[in-house]
Amino acid sequence: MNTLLCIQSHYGKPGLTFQLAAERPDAIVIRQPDLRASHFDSACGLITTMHLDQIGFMDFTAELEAFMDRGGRWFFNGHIMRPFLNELQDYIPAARAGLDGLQLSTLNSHSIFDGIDRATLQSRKGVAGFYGRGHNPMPQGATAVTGVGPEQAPLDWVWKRPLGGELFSHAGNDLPGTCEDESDSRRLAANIIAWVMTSGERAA
Amino acid sequence: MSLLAVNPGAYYHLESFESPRYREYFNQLVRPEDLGDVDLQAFDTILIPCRTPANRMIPHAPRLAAFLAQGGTVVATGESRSDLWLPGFRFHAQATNYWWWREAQGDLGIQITNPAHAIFNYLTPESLTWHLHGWFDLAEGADVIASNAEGKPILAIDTVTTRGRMVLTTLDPFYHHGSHFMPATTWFLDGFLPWIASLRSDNGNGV
Repeated sequence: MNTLLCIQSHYGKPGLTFQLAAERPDAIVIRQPDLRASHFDSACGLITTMHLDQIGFMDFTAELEAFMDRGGRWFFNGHIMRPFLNELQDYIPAARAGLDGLQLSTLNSHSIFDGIDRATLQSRKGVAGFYGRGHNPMPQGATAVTGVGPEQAPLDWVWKRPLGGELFSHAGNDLPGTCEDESDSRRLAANIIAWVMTSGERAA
Repeated sequence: MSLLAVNPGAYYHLESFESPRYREYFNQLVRPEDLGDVDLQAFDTILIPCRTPANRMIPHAPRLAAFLAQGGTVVATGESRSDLWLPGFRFHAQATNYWWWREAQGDLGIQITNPAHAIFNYLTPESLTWHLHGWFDLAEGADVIASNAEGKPILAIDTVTTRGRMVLTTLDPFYHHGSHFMPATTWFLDGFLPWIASLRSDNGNGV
């Protein structure tokens, strides 16, 4: 079976995306201390959260690379601070704070935003910054999806890796948690799961 | 003698511990899983940062208890359910208001309970003020430094439960500082970490 691997790194109940994932028979929601190399063997989709233990995840770079090589899709939430793949670089915070520096811009469409009015992601109760305040540098060939600030730094991007696999990087808190409206949160979570699992049709 | 910081490895921990602003305060970093491999007696203070998963600390509760019994200082910041791996108190969650400053009254309601405390040579009331996630039920005799609007402790020092000292807060400064979000959290650490260092230099009488 092609499985959806969800790595839960925080203590307590799973977040919304993993709660939805757990309703699927092909999903494995695993606490990170219990993660083993064998969990990657059948995975075709991978979701990690803003709370990922990045030091601990570096123990699985070989498995991650193999997962990507065979066409897996990975949705990454958070700030990259370790080179899980050779092409990844450390997060860069926005140069300017304030509303201007936190202004989001739609740079390209993507299926994870299907049914979402992306303008509503700009703020929650009038407060900007929840969505993201910087970017993970894009690997060569990646496509920017959402920009931040006047420079439109790539806060969200998707990368079709030349050696196989795809990575969606969201350089902020877990994406579904940034919505004002709970139905939007559920839709985003469902879209993320659908996107990573589309790879299941291709992966071994 | 020096400070040992537990490093759970999330991006906000890495930013807080590894960036130049604060790294000099952490004499050694240790993974939660490796606490049993470190000679804790080589340190006078152990710091466990915000959002350390409790499931990774609970196995080490006896080690921390032994460290406290020998007079050590344990510092634990918020959202780590420290009550599950430190003795003598309980955490209670409260609804978090992230936008209090946009509301009519514009007051988070934090009360400075002990304004004469030496910590206020390092911190201002404003540097404690971003938002709240909860409060503590503490042992009788614990020194409450600050409370929420209902008078429940959010920052305290407990020297009565053990022979050591527990510096406890429900505030989550490392998480927000390490996320480059909410400047007050950086102001807090700018004062809190030097205050922790001062405790070591005055042999623990900074309470």
